[in-house]
Amino acid sequence: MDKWDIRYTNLSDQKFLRKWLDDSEDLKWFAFTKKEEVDVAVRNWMYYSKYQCSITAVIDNEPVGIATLFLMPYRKICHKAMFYLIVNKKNRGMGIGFSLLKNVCHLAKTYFKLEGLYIELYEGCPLIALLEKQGFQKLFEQNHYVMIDGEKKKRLVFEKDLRE
Amino acid sequence: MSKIVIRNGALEDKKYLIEWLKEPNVLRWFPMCDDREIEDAANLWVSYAKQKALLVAEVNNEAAGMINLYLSPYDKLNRQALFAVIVQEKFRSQGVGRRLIEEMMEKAREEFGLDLIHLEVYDGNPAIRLYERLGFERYGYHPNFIKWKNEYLGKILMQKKL
Repeated sequence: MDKWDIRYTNLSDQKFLRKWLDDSEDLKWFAFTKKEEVDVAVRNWMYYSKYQCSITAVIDNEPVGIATLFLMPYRKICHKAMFYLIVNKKNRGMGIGFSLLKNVCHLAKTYFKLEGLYIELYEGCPLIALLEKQGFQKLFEQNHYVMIDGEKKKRLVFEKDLRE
Repeated sequence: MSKIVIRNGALEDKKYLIEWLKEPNVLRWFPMCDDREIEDAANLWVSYAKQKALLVAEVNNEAAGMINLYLSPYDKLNRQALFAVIVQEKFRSQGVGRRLIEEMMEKAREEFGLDLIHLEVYDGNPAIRLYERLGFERYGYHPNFIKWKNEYLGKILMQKKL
């Protein structure tokens, strides 16, 4: 049996997300880097929790990971959504990321009736293996998109067709 | 041939953008579908005027087209930017789009220090030919990105190194 539970995200989870994003190694995989950038991004990220399109993994009531659907605001493109996923560093390797990914796909398909879920990553991101295991496929890549540690890296977009 | 004048855009230019987006058959090439969505997208588009990343083309003192650069707020992404361009229907095929893109490419390189610009365009959009002529190359495709009245359109992604 899993040691964690999955529930809808609530605004009080924000402080945990903010803390996880203090890790400079993890921040490499996100667009935001500077403190003020992270603060704004975390607020925007958590804003989606009010639509119940975000889930949090908890162990002993303490958040250990979050996956969020960024629902599209326009009707022509709202059949797909992008998502973010993060697991607290000290809780990795237990299957929490896999569980969040599986559950967020389920939420997207059954509750929001989405047809596709996609994610934008940077070259080298450790989440890629997990995505492939869950049936995500690489749609395209763009060279020279992001500067990480002084080097230009690729942007990669993976998608899962939820109609299957 | 009419002279095309390029000037910096301002928030007040939003009215032209909204007017052009509402011209017949224009919205099929954009993700918006109603007045609320047009207003929302237009607000975002012209907000780049504050960073001088919005240009307007005028022909005989009349606004004829507009282009913006969606400059990233993040340091990590500040060497590239997405852009969007629109030309009022009656001024199409007169070189307005080309001038706007050329001017914006120069601005992107010289003023914003970008070395890559990119765009998103939907299947079948006649503007693809112009982008190709200007040296943009396709680097990706997002299938079924638009769904409208049970029909799907894919999104073509193109870029050009500056």
